[in-house]
Amino acid sequence: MTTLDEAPCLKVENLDISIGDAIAVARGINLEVRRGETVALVGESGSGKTVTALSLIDLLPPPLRVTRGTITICGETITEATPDALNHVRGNRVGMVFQQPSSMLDPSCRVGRQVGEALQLHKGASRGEAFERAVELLREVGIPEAPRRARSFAHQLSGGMAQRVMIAAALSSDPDLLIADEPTTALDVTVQAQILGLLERERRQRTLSILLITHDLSIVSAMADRVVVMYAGGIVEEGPVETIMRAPQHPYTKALIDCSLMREAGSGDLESIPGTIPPPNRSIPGCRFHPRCPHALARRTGSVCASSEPEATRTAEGHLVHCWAVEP
Amino acid sequence: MTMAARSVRWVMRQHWTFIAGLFSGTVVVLLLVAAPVISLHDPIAQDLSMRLQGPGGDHWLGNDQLGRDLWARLLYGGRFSVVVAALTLFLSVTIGTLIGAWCGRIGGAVDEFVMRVVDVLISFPEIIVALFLIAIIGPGFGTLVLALTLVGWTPFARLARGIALDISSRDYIAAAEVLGCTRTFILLRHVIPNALRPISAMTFLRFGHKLITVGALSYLGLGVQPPDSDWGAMLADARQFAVRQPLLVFAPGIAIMVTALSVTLMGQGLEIDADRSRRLRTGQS
Repeated sequence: MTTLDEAPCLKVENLDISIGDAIAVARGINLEVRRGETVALVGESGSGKTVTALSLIDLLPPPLRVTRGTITICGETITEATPDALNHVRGNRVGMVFQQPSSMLDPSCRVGRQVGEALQLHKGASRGEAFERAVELLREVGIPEAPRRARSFAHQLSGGMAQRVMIAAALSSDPDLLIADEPTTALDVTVQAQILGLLERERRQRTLSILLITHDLSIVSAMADRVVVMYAGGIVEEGPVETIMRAPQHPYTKALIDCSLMREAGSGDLESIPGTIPPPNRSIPGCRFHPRCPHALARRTGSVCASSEPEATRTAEGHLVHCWAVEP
Repeated sequence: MTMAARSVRWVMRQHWTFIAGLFSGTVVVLLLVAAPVISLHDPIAQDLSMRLQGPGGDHWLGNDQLGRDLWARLLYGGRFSVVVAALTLFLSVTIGTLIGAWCGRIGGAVDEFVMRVVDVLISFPEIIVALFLIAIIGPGFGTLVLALTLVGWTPFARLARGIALDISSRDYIAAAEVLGCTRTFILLRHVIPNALRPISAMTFLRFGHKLITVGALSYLGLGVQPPDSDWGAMLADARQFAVRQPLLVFAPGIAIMVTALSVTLMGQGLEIDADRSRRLRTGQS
């Protein structure tokens, strides 16, 4: 379903995000999402995936800011956009779904009105038209009794309902790209499956591109076409989902998959990665993962791992690994 | 459910101080509105044969030093006091909330400048500014409203700014930004509606203060001018006759107190309730 010749919907080149000028939170991020494709951005907490997502639509809370690189969404360069152009992109090209759906809804605004806001602002719909359209959208995302629900307030909705409302709001402007930042983390498992099913259905119907941010690998294998693995603010491996899940090359990806519940029941023990992710203010020479990496620990002395950062190595078509141990 | 039934249910859910204040406040407002119907006399018609007469006959509260009916004067005088207080309060809240919330949202040098202006204005007692303006443009209804609004908006600006800063960090503002909402739209649709509850609580609490300030200015002879009168002016006039006819002092004094108290009680009730739901909310998350 992915056509290589088409211009990507989202293109991020050499993106650096820092706290002020000093502390790098994300470094050298290259990312591409093609039309109709789902790309999963994976990593543990603190790996910089949410910060990366927020930077895409210029939502970084100060003092975080983009210090280098370019972000292009549907041909519009976000990093150089004027406030008006930025608003236009936000209202017409991108939708975003967040982790905590209930706190994303204005407590004093009826949900139907909130869903219709983008239409009112960007499509020139009147208040009544926007509300009608919002009801339609709510129905589309599977909210029962949509006309009545549209008149309710955020606190009257369950978490799953609130997330559906957020998805309806994100879809209201008919976007090309949907950024979903841990859309199901706050929901329980059965609702998770429904929400993911909904996202998948909308993607097919609307040929949406989805950037899915998650730490849950089972979601990744179910939803994504391609996977990008982040660790401590940098990308360590990226490639098609089958390759990454079946034959991961980077030691961190391997460890991540070993830690997840997805592995076929073996010994019954769950693996874990020793140590924790380094805070962004600690500078680590060489590969950021080497203090926790079994491979680097085995090689010990004179290891390049501790002295210089690995470049991307292409192991197969579309599969890049940032690791010294991987031979092209 | 009809609108009326819903309002009644809403009222009954509030704290008892709100209900008590609402009740006595409504009685006062009804009396003032119905003044022409329920007072049998003209408030400025003098009858010197009835000077300083105590209550009796169809003069329910008696007569003042010029033989004017006290009950009628109380009702018509109250209209002036309450209208000036309510109008200045309304202007103060509107101006203060808009300026404050706007400053809180944009931040930076403009915010800093406006807030320093607020600091300066807030350090002047309202009554001093009012005296100053009255000295320049003369006493009267317009001057009174202008003077009290000029200083009155500042506490609301400060409050609204604080709330706007708090709301700005909420997730739903980010969500609105993602939808491509403009600054003004977010301010009017998402920031101010969510700030209204705490601001309304403060509005009620300030009403009593306004009423007393209006009374004080009239007492000093700087408010309403004769032959019109209000509660403050009535107090001032009655001063010398307080011993012979204490009711002349008590009646306007009690009227000011009851009105101020009932609105303050409403505000307090709202605040208690807001506090309660805030604690409930934070307890949950």
